[in-house]
Amino acid sequence: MTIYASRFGAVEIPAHGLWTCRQPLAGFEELRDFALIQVAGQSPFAWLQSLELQPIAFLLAEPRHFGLRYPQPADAEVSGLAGAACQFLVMVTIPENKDEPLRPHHLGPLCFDAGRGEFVQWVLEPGRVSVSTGFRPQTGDLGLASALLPRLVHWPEAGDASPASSPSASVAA
Amino acid sequence: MLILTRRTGEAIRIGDKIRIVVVQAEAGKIRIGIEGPRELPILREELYTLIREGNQQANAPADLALEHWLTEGKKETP
Repeated sequence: MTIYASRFGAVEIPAHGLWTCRQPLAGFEELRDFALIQVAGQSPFAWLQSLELQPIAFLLAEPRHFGLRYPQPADAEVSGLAGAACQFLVMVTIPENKDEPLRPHHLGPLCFDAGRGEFVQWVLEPGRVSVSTGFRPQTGDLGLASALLPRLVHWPEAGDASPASSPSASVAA
Repeated sequence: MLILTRRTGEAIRIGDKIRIVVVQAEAGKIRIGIEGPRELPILREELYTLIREGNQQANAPADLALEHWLTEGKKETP
């Protein structure tokens, strides 16, 4: 399918690039279908782009870049996904004041199950998670867990000069 | 809003899968027990509000905000 996102323009989302939100996200209960998009030059960040309301996109990064570690959730805590299969990404807020640090949404990490193409937001009580130590990028393949890479949409596709020069996209091999 | 009066030990059913029991009531505070499907998210309202606000703040940062942060913000990271 092709979406026309205000942030990216036209993006081709192949079937294996689709993600389903298993339980509604608080504040965005009507949204179920998403794509994970990584923009050239923006590693280790990725975008969780809504396929239903295209102005909606969340900036994500792995918790480790903020010094966050999460315990393995019980399956029931992640709405029946396999807790052991969780690849966590956290939403990131960019502060309006550039002197303030990036803020991870540490109480609501997203558990991605790459095998099922589903994700869910795990909500933790404040006492169950450590406080972010600030943004410190760690090394790693594109900055994202390798299990997620086959389902990651790259934009623009390899070989294009810049995001502004091409509206097309492809999924990692 | 539906308002019901219940005493300690009494319960309310919501559909056929959710049962809410008044466990204890005293001094302006009540303890309730909730039985329902394990996968049903049950949150204190203040935590739900915190999560919803965090989600809304993370949604759709201004165009170029990340690009600006990547070029300017990273320089300031010690």
